[in-house]
Amino acid sequence: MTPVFKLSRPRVSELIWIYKWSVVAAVIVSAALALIGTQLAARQQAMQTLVVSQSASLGVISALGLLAALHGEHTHPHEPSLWPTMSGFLFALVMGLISQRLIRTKWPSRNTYFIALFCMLMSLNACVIAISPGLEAHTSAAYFGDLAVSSETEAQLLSVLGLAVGVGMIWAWKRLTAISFNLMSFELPPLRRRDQQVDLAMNLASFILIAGAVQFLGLLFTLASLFLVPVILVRWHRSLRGLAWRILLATAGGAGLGFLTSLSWGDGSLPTVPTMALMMPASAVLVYGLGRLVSGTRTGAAR
Amino acid sequence: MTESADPRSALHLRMTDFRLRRPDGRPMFDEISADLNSGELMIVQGPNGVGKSTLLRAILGLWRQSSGRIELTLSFDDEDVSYLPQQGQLQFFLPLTLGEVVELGEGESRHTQEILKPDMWDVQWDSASGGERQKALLTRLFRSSSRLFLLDEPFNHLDHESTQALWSEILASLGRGASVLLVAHGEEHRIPVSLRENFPVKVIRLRGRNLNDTSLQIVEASRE
Repeated sequence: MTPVFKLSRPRVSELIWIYKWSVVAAVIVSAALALIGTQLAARQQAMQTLVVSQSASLGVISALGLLAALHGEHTHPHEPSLWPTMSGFLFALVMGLISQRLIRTKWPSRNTYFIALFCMLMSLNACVIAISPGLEAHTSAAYFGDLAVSSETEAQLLSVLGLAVGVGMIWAWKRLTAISFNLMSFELPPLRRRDQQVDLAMNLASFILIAGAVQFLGLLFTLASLFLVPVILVRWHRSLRGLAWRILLATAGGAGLGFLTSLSWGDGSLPTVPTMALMMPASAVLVYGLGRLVSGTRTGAAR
Repeated sequence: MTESADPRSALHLRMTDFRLRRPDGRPMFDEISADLNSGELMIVQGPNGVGKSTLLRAILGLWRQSSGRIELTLSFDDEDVSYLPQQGQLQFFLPLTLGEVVELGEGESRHTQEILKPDMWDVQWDSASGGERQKALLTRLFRSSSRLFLLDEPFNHLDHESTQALWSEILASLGRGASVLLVAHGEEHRIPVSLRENFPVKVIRLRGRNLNDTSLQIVEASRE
């Protein structure tokens, strides 16, 4: 009788080890995106960011399609390459400039124009996937990500990028908040050169990080990281104190917890990125609750 | 521009045949020619809609439709110029307190009259009154060591005590060689005597333009 070898499902710890760099990248990038998203939300640029992110996705897809066409239609679209990220960055930059012009026109119901742009870009995305050889598998990955496919090198590079952007955002947090406050409260753009430079740096960093996140983690993960935790935590805070750190912690924690949950829930059939996105608000509640507990304990001890 | 030994003689702002235009090209008011030197107070007056606030924004480089010249001898980059805008949108996404608004200001924390009292610092920006917000913005502004202050209707929403505190801040700033250009409605009648006696006060009156009348309004620049 021929022995039958049954393949057993890898243990959770083994899977974590296999995807360790992808998870590290996801956690770091989500935290950096959350800080960026907080400032973008403060500037009422959420719809603009949706369009820029979709544009980045189109840039990534277009580059992947071009690479597949140049190297042969059976080339795996996820072979390590920075070209898709750079293409995503360029597409995001162009759409960023177009949307800035749209904002300056002060047309009423600007969000309607952004929705229209989003529909166009999403449709173009689908068409590029349809006509490009070897990109069929990327249809789902474009929106829901595919942590399993990025190489260690790509994940490490994305981690370094996320870390650099995150550190920069923390360093410039007060200045960026002042710029956002003046922009929204008084329609006053930054007047000092270093404020203009910091603001420009934030915008460029957001475009490139969004492009990288869209390529490796998908559009859903990118948007969830940008806005899910900030919209919850800002409503529960009465001041800025501690807000940035809690946003950072909750988003990173949600991404990590979500990954673990997707691996360990049932037979591991939960989709990874949507689970990570759903865990972010849960993590926000947890971080806020822990913060209240700690401050309550300190107040009690002080008495 | 080289500053002379006497800080009061340093030119901070010069407007030469300066005229603002609306987006459709029509002029807002006739040409203005005026200098603002260190230690001087300039008040720009006029009815609503004549272009007072737009004049300040033009000085900041935020309004392009104009003719003539504006020379600003001070630098934004060196934090020499501070601007108080009119209050605009009431709500902000981030949860700021009035104290945090003050601390968002640039420059060193210079001792001020504290137009906004410390016990108001924990009040939230979104739920504060117009007067409380104005006090926070003024406190933020005067904590800097700027040499030119551009104030757009700074007395709006202020009570008597805060108005007096604001005049004290303006007086102190003029005393250390700064200049102040403020947009106001008839404030020149309430200028403290101590200020009038010690510092030059210039008034620019912009008269409203009748949109059905092709004749332009009269601009007076008078020294009081």
